[in-house]
Amino acid sequence: MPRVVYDTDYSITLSTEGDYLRVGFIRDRMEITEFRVQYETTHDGRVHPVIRCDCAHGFPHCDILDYDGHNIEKIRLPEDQPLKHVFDRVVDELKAQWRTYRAAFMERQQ
Amino acid sequence: MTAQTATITLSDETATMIDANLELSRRFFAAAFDDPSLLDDLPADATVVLIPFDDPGLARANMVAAEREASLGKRVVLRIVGLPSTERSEWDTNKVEQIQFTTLRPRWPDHAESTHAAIHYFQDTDALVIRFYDDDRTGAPVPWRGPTYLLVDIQSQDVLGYLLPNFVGSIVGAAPQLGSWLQQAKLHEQTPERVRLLLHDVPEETDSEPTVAGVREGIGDLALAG
Repeated sequence: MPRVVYDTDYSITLSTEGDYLRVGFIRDRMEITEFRVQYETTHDGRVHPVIRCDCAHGFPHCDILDYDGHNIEKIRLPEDQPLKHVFDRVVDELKAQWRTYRAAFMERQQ
Repeated sequence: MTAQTATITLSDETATMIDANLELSRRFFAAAFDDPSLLDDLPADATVVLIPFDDPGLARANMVAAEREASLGKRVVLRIVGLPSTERSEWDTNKVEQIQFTTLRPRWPDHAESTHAAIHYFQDTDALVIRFYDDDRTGAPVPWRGPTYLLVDIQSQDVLGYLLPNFVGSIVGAAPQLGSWLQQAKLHEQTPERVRLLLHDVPEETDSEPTVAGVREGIGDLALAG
């Protein structure tokens, strides 16, 4: 499957220690039609994606990533909802679970 | 107190900052889903630091984060989130919501410190705006000491004055002497009678507006109190 190219690639700074929310959008004129949200953290001087959520493959989901960026688990999100609600759901998931995902990520790289 | 992870220990302060910035990101992007043109001025690959209008503590922490990112050689954009959208000439004209971090070099007014400052109070956001200049320039709110923001004209870098959010709700409680500023303010959606009811412990009323020097001294006291 071809890689999705997003129009934007914002890196929102979350902390003073190298945590980021990377946000990409595809826009069709005045509408956002796709998004990708990725929580990233810094370890050993490198920024690593920990979890990536998007609508690729035709359904909204989150991919939990290993230290090399490979997908190790897919979490499906509710379908048939407005994109804004899916985005909200993703932020809810991150707010509730980023500590857990980050800890597991660090554990896996040992 | 710390939040434990497998190999890296995050301070509770950092974890709380991440929580708050995730919520701030939601606020910002929720607005962008409704009106994608909000993203038009944001460089497509920007490192963005969100500055909340209504949370001075997080705003200051995020300014520290912006300095760190800039020191890594990144192009950092500060984006103000939550500016009031109601009609008001004091900050809606040429409203500034986005600043290139590296361009910020605030310059204090060089006119006499004895010049009187103009004070405005806005009930809907409980915000006190103090202006040093008699003009209609609009400043971007830049986190400053304690719970205060500087209003900075991004073109000239002039410090136009101060913005004090949560003025009655929080600031007057910490520094009751500043309540007298509210008595001298031009009131927006507020009446003098209600102001008197809002203030419980303020100094005697004075006739004249404070000077620029007096305002700066008061803000300094407030920063120490905070």
